[in-house]
Amino acid sequence: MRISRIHITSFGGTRDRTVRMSPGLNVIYGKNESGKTTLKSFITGTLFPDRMPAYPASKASDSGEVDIELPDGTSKTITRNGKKSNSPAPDMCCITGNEYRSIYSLDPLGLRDMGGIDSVRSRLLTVPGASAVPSAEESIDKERTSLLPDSRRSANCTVSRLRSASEEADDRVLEMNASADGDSAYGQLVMEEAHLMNLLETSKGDEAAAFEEFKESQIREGTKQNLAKIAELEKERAAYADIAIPDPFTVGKYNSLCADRRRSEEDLTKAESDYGTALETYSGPEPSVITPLAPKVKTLGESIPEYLYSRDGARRGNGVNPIVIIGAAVAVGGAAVAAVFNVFAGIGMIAAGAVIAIIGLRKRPTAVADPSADRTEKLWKELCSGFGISQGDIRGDHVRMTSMLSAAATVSDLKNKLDSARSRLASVDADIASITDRYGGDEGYARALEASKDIERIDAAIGALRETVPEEKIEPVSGDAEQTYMDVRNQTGDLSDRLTAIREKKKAILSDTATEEALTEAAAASGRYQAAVRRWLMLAAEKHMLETACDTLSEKNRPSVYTDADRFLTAMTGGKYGIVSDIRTSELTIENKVTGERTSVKKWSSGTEDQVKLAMKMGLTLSLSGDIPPVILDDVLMTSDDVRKEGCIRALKELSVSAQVLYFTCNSATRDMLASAGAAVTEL
Amino acid sequence: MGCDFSFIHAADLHLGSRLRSLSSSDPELGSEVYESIFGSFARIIDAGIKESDFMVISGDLFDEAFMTPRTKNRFCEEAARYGKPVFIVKGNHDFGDQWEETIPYPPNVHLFPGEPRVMRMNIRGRKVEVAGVSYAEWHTSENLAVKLKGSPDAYTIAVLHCSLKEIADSGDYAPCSLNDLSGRNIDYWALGHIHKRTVVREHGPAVVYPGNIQGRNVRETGEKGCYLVSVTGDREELRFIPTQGVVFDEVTADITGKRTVNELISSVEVPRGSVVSVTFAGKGQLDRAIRADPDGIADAIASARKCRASVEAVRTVPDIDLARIREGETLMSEIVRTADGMFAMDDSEIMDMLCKGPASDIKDTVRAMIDAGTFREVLQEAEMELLSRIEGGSR
Repeated sequence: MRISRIHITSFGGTRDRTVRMSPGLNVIYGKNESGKTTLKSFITGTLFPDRMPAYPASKASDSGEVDIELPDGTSKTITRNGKKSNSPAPDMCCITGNEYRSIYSLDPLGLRDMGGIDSVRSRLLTVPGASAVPSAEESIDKERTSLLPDSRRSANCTVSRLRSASEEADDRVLEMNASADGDSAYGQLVMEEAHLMNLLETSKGDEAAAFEEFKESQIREGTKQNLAKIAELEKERAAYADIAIPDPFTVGKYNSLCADRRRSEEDLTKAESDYGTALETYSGPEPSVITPLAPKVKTLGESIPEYLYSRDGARRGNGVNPIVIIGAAVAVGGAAVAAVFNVFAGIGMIAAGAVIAIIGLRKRPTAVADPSADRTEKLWKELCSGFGISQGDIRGDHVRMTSMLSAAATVSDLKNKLDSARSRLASVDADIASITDRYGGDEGYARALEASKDIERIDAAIGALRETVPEEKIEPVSGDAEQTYMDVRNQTGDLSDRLTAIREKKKAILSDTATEEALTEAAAASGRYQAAVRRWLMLAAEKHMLETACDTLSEKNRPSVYTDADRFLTAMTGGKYGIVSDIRTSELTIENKVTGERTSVKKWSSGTEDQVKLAMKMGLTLSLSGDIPPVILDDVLMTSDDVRKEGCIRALKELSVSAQVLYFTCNSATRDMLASAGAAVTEL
Repeated sequence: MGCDFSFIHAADLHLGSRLRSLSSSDPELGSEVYESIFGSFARIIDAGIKESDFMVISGDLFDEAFMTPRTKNRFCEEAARYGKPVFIVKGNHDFGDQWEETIPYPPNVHLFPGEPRVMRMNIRGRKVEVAGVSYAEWHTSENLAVKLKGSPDAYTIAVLHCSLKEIADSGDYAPCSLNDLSGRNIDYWALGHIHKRTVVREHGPAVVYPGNIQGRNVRETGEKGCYLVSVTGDREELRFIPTQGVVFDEVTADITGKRTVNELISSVEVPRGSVVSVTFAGKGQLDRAIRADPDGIADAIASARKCRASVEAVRTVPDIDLARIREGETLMSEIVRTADGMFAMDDSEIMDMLCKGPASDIKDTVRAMIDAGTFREVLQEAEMELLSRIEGGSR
C-alpha cells in the first residue's frame, strides 16, 4: 500500500492542505510547528482508525482524504470523517493501529526504547537442542585444538609432539641401524667374514705347504749339519790315532791301585798323626838311646832286692841270718821230695822250711860286706846317666826307667808303623808308576784316559749322527723356509684373529636387543601418534557435523526479519556489518563481513546499536504476511553523524523498494541528503 | 602316521612385527604378543618335527619393516631345527629381504622364485609336488593362481599368497577366484594373506587359509596356529593345531536396557584366559556414562572378570530413536542428516574437507586410515559422540 495524495480538509491546526507522495522514498521537510506531526497523525489515524493518535486530539470535525494505491494496481481514496475512515488497511495489513505505530511509525525515542533486544533473538531464532551447542562446541574445540590448532602450525600441539616423537623414534632406529655396530653393519660383517674365510683357507693351505717346506728344510739343514759334525768328529778322532790308550784291564788295575794308594795315604796320615801325638807326649831321651839299656834295667830291677838287703845288712850287720838259709834249704829239699818222692812229705818239708825261713828272717841278719851291691850301685848310676835322670831312690829310678822304656817302646812302635806305612805307599806308588810310566807318567796316563773318554764320546756321537743321515743324496737347501713358514703362520693367526673378531661382532649384533627395543618404542610412538590423529579426526568430524547442522538449521529457520535486517544493516554500514542469524548464537549478534568477527549486543557502541535496531525495525516492517503499509520515520537519523546518516539513507532507499517510506525531518541537511538519494521532497 | 604323508600348512607368520596400537596402549601386552609370535612358530616347528614330512608357509613370514637380522636369524634357527623340507613363498609383507644374502635360509628351506616353479619329492613311494610362486613386487594385482599347475600322477600342493575374491574383504593382492583354482591338477591350495582361518573348500581341490599364527591385534580373535594335513590316497585330513600364546576375543557390552554400569559389567561374558577387546554397543541411558570413561569401564570389566580388557570401540547410541530423529526438525535431526550426507561422500573428499590448514600435514596418516578401512568407523563414532553431547547438553 502506497499513499499517493493526502488532503487534509480539517485536522488539528491544518486546513485544506494537499500533499502528494512518491510511491518510494519521500522526505517531508518542515520547520518546527509547520504541521509535520499533524500530517503524520492524520495519516496513521486515517489508515488505522481503530486507534487514534493522542496528538492532535481527534474531533468530529476532522475530515480529509488519503489516496492510496493497492498492490493489485488499483487506487482507492480513504475518506476521513471525524474519528472514522473507510481504510482497508487494518484488514488488508492484518495489524492493528497500535502495531502499526509501534512497528511502522518510528521516532528516535521509539527506536531507543526497543528494550530487551535480546528477546528478539530468542523469539525469532529458536531450534530444539541448540542450547547445548555452545558447551558442546567449546569442549570439542578445546580438545581438538589442543591436538591440532586450526590456524597456525604449532610444534607444541599434541599431534605435532607425538608425530615428532614418532619420527624421532624412527630416526633412532635408523641411527642404530646405521651405527658401526648396528644392523646395517651385519651384512658388511658377513661379507668380510666370507672374504676372511677364503683368505684363511688359502692361508692355511699356504701354511701347511710352508710347514712341509720348512720341515724338509729342517731335515736338509740337519743332515747337512750332521754330516759336517761327523766330519769334524772324525777329524777329532783321528787326532787320537797315535796315542796309546790303556786297555780296560790296565785301567781296572790302575783304578784298584789308586784305591790302595788312597787307603795307604790314609794309613800314613794316621800313622803320622799317631806318631806325632806320641812324640808330643814323650819327654825322654831319644828312644834309640835308651832302648838298648832295657836289659840292664831288667838286671837292675832284679838286683834291687839284693842291693837293698845288702845295704840294710851293712847298716845292721849287713848279713843274712843262717836260719833263713836253713829254712830255705829245707823248703827246697821239700820241693825236691815233693817232686821226686812224696808230695805230702815234700809239702810238709816245704812248710817246715818256710817256717824256719820266716823265723830266720825275723832275726836280724848279720851285716856283711857284699861286692854285688857295688855292681848294682854302679849299674844304677850308669843307667841314671843313660836315662838322663838324677839318681835318687833305686826303686823309684827303676820305675821311672821302666816307664820311660815303655814310652820309648811305644814311640818306637809308632815310628815303625809310620815307616811301614811309608814303605807301603812307596810300594803302591811304585806299582802305579809301573803302569803310568808306560804312558809317560801320571799326566800321560790322565791324558790317555781323557783321550779314551773322548774317543768313546766321539764314536757314540758319530754313530748317532750316522743314524740320522738318510741314505739318499742330500739336496742343497734353498731359501729361508723357516722365515717363510713363520710369516705364513703369523698371517694365518692374524686372519684367524680377525675372523674371530668379526664373528664376535656378528654375535653381538644378533644378541643386541637394543634395536628390537627401539623398534618396539617406535611402533608404540607411532601408535600414540595415530591414536591422537584418530581422536583429532573424530573431533574434526564432530565439529564439521555440528557446524554444518547449525548452518543448515540457521539457514532453514532464518526469519525474513533477519534476512531483511541483515540487508539493511549491510546497506547502512556500506557492507561492513551484517546481522548473524546463527542458531549457535545465544544473543543478537552482528558480524564484521570483512574480518568475520562476531560481536554480540553487549559489545556494541551506541551508534552501532542504533543502526542495528533500525535495521531490525526496518526488517520487521517487511515481515507482514499481508500488504505492507507506508513506513513513517520521524527524524530517526537526528543523532547520527553524516557517515551513519548516509548509510541509513542507503538502507531507506533499499527499504523503499518494498515499502513506501515517509521520512519527516526538520533538518535541511537531512532533507538534502535524502533528496540527493532520490527521495521526493515535500516542503511543509 | 597312518597316512601316506603329512605336512604342516602355516601362513602369515609376521615374525618380528610390532603392534602399534597395542604397543602404545598396553606396552606389556604388546611385548607379550611380539614374543608370542615367535613362540607360536616354535610350537609349529615342535608339532612339525613330531608329525610332518614337510612344511609349507604361504607368505608373509616377516613384516619387512621389522625384519631385523635377529628376526631372520630366529626363523632360520627354527627352520634348521625342523630339519625337514620347508617350502616358502613371499607375500606382500616380506617381499623385500635385505638379509637374503647375508643371512641365507638353511639348506632345508626352499624359497619359490618370482616365476612359477614346481618342486618334486618322493615320500615313501608317493610322488608329491609343491608348486608355488613368490611375489615379484610388493603388490601384484596379477592373478598368480592361474600360473600354477600340477601333474596328474602326483599329489600337488600349491603355495600362494593371494586374495580369494569369494572371502576377501578387500584388497587385490594376487586376486583370484575359486573357479581359477579348479582343473589345474592341484590337490591342495595352501593359501595365505587372509588372517582369519578359513577352509574354503575341503576337497577337490582343498582350498585352505590357515590364518595367522598369533592374533596381532584385538580384532584377530580366537585360537591361531597351523593345519596339519594328512594325505591318504587322494583324501586330505585337516587337523588344526593351536599354537598361539595370547588369545584375543571380542566381547560386546550392550547398554540396551541397562540402568547402571554395574548391571552392564555383570552382563559381559568373557572367555577364560583371553585378552578381550570390548565394544560398547546398544542404545540407552548409559551412553553418556560410557562415553565419559570407556577405558575406566573396560578396566572395571577386566577387574570383575579377571582378564585383560581394552576398548575396541564405543558404538553406543543415546536413548533416542534415530529413525524418528532423522525425520525431525531438531538440531539432533539435522546432525543425523548432516552425518548421512557426509557418509555419502568419498573418503578422500571427506579427508580434504576436514584436513585443512595445519591439519593438511596429517593427511598421510588419515590416508593410511582410509587404506586400512578404519576411517569410516571414526566418522560413525564421531556422529554418536556428537549426538550424545547434544542430547546430554540439552537435557
